[in-house]
Amino acid sequence: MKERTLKYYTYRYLLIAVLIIIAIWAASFYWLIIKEVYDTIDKSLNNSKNRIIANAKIDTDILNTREFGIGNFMITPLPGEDYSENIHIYSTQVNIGKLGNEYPARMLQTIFHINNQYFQLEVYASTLEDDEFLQNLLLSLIVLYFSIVISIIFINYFVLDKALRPFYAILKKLKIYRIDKSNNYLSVQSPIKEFNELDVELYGMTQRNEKIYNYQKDFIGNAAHELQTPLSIISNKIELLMEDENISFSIAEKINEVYLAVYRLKNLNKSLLTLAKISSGQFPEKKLIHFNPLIHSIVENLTELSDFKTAHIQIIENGNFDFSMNEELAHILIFNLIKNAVTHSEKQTVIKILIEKNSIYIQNPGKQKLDEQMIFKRFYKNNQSKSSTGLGLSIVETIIQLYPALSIQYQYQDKHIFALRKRK
Amino acid sequence: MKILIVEDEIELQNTIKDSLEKSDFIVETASDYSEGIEKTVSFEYDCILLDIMLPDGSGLKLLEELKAMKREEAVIIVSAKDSLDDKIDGLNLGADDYMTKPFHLAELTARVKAAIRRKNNHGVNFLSWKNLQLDPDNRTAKVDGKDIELNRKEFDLLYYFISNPNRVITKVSIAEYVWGDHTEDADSLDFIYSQIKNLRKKLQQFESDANIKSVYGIGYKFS
Repeated sequence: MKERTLKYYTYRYLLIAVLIIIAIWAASFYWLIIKEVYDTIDKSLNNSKNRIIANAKIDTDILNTREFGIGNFMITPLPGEDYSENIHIYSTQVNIGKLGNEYPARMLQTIFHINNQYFQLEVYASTLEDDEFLQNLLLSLIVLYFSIVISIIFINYFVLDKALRPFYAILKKLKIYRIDKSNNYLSVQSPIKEFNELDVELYGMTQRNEKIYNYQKDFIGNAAHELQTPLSIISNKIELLMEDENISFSIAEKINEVYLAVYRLKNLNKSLLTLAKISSGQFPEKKLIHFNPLIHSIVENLTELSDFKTAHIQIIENGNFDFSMNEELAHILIFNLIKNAVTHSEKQTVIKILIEKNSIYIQNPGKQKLDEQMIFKRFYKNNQSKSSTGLGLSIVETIIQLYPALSIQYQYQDKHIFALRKRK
Repeated sequence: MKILIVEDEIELQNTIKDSLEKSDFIVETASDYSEGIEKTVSFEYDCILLDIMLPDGSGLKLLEELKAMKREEAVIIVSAKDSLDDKIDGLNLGADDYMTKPFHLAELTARVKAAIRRKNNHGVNFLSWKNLQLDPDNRTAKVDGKDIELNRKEFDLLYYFISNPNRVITKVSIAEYVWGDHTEDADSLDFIYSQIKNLRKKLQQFESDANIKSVYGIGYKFS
C-alpha cells in the first residue's frame, strides 16, 4: 500500500467531494434558473397568443398581419381544414426589420380558426436579454464555484495544519527519543484533547520503559558485581592448585584449561561491569584530552602484542585531535579500537592510524567486510575471534553515546576502517 | 612478617592466607569489622588487607580507626567494587594501595611486599634474589653490582618474579600485571613466551644465578 501524508489523504477526498458536490449543486441551480426564465417567457407568449386570437375575432384586420412587426406576431392563412390546434413553443433565431440581423427568440406556433378558416399564428419574444442574463449567471456560478472550492481547501489547509501541529511535534520528539538517555521525552502542550492524551500516554509509556530498562541495566551491573567474589575464589584456588607439586602434567593441563576459561569469564564480567558503569554515568569528570599523545602511549603499550602478531602500527599525524571528555573513557575508547585492529590483524600487516584535526581513522587490512549493523552489538563475533569477549566495540559505542559530539563509523574499502569523528 | 586479612568471604580468606603463607608471611584473619578492630587493637602487623564491605561495618571505617590510633601498618584495600570514589576515599584515608577483585595471588604478594617496603624506611630499599638486586624506586637492576640494561616491561616482569620467588606465576597473571588489561585475548598469551625468552637471555648474559623455569606451559617459576 502506498503511503500518503495525512494532509494529502484528507485533501484528496475532500477535494473530490467538494468538486463533485458543488458542481452538482451549481448545475442544478443553473438548470432551474433556465427553466424558470423560459417558463416566464412561454407564459407571456401564451398570454399574447390568447390576446391576439381574441382580438382577431373582433378585428379581422389583425388577420392580415403577414410579417413580424411591432406586435411580434405573424398570421398565415392555411388552406383546407382539419388542423390540430396544438401549441408548439421552441427556441429559434428571428430576423427582425430590414437589417437582417438575427436574434435569439422563443417562438410560439399555433393554429386557430375563425369561421372554418384556419390560420397559423406565430408569436415570438426576444430572449436576447434573458440569454445575456443566463450567460452572466453561468459566469458568476463558475467564479463562485472555484472560489468556494479554493476557500474550502485553504481553510482546511490552515485549520488542519494548525490542528496537526502538536501531532508533528510529538512525532519529532519520538524520533529523537532514546531509552538510554533518561527523561529526554519532553511533553508537548496542545489545545487538542486527543493529542494531549496521546502525549500523556506516550510520556507514561517512556517512563515505564525507562524504569524497566534501568532495572535491567542495574541487574546486569549487580549480577556482574556479585560474580566478582566467586570468580576471585575460583581463580585463586586454581592458582594455588597449580603450585601443588603432586599433580601430573595431564592434570596440570586440564587445570590450565579451566583457568583460561575462568580468565575469559573474568574478562567478560569485567567488560559487563565497565558497560554498566559507563551507561549509568559513573564517569562524569571531563577534561580536554589530547588524543595524539594518548594514541602514542597506547600504541607503545601494545607494541609487544603487535610485534608478537608481527603487525606493524603506523601513526600518521596530519593534525591534533583534541576533545573534552572523561580521561579514563578516552583511554578505553582508543585502546579498544586499536586493540581490536591488532587482535583481528593477520600476520605481516600494517595497521594505520591516521590522525586529523576532526577525525581519527584506524585501518587494518582484512579480506571480508564485517556487518556494520552488527559490529557494535554486544557479543557480536566473527568466526576468527573465539576467545575475545565480543564486548570491546560495544563498549566503544556506549562511550560514543555519552558524547553526542562524537561519532564512530565502520567502513570497508579493501580494509577495515573505523572512523572516529567530531560532529560539526 | 605479619599480615592481617579482614575479609568476610571465608573461602577467599583461606585462599589468600594459603598463598601468603607460601610466601613466608605469618597470616591472621578476621571475618568482620569487630573482629578486625579487636585484632588490630591487640596486635601489630606489617600489612593489613581490608575488604570494604563487611557484614557489620565498612572497611573504610576500620581504616579511619587505624589512622586515629596512629598505626603504621601498610593497608591495602581489597574491594569487589571497582569504584573510583571508593579508591579515592580509601587512598585519602591513608590506604597504601587499592585492589579490585578478582585479582591474581602473585599480584597480591607483589603489592603486599611493595606496600611493606614503602612503609619501612629502614634504608634497605631494594629487593634481592641470589646475586640479583632490584631497586624499585630507581627502576634499576644489578647482577653482582653490575647494572643490567632492562626496558620498562622487562623491569616490571623481573620485579614481578622477584616478588614471587619459588612460586608458580601464571601467564595470565604476568600478562595482566605487566601489560594491564591489554591481553584480553587468551590466544595471544603466547606472546608472553617471547618476552620471557628475552629476559632469560639477559639474565644469562649477565651471569645471574636467578633462573626462570617454565611450569607445564601454565606459567613460570622464578628461582
